[in-house]
Amino acid sequence: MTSKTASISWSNTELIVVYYSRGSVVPALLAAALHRDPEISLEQGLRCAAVWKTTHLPEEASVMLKPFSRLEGGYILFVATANAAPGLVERTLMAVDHLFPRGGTNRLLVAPLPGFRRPRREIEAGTLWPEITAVVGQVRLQLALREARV
Amino acid sequence: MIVIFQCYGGTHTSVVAASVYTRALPRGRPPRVRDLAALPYFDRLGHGQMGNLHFIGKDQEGNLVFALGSAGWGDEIRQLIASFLAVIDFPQPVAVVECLKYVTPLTRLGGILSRRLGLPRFGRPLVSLGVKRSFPLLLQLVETFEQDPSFFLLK
Repeated sequence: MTSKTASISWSNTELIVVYYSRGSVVPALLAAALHRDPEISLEQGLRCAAVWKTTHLPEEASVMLKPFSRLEGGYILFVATANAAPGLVERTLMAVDHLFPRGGTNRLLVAPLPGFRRPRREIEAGTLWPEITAVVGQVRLQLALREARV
Repeated sequence: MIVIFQCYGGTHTSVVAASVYTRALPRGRPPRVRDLAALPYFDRLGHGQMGNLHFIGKDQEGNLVFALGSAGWGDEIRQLIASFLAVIDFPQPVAVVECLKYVTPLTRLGGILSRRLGLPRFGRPLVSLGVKRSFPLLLQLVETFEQDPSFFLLK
């Protein structure tokens, strides 16, 4: 299924952060929720993920890339899922971004999440919360470094 | 339009089809081993290069032509690319021509020997033979694309 992404329009001054998780969108949703609200607990994150899925994914989608939230500071969080290897997805999206006129938007950050080797129900119960927290922390650091450079 | 030829590793079948399309390879006969060896990227990319777009050339209308390796996830990758292009409001159409189904067992075996096991001396002749065998089908695929590119456009 090809997702539609029309609910948040992107302006080319905004940075795109894509949280990608393999096999289930839940880790990506937890990461995006944690990114939006650093104080959120795992339980709150799971509730947020459930609400988001009900609202935005009426049907179970094995492949999708959708906007999650627009944040202050000029960037938009996206969540994506598929079964493809995270590194492959990251390289492909970065390569496609570089096709953009003038050598790419240079405004894309793809953050693959771990966890695809565990049973799906464990992943969706948030067992990867420590790893997700680490990835979000790394993304925040990368964003801070980008801002410092500009 | 941007044209992307896609296969497993992005280094054999997609490179050959893209080169036929850009007319870097002749269409009247199967390519010789030395023709293939002279192609940029042919049997030269490893596993870590999958996902990168490799520029092959321009077609007769000046469109940029690339080769892409997506392992066995070509369909999913096309869907993600389509979604992403919609997100960034990409200003021109993108066509992806999937070549994976034209990979012969010989090409696969040769590719494993050459790219995965690091034995190009043994793998490359097998790959070349496999590509020669699938050449009529690849040519047909390219001609189908030329006749109706809209069928291959990402939406």
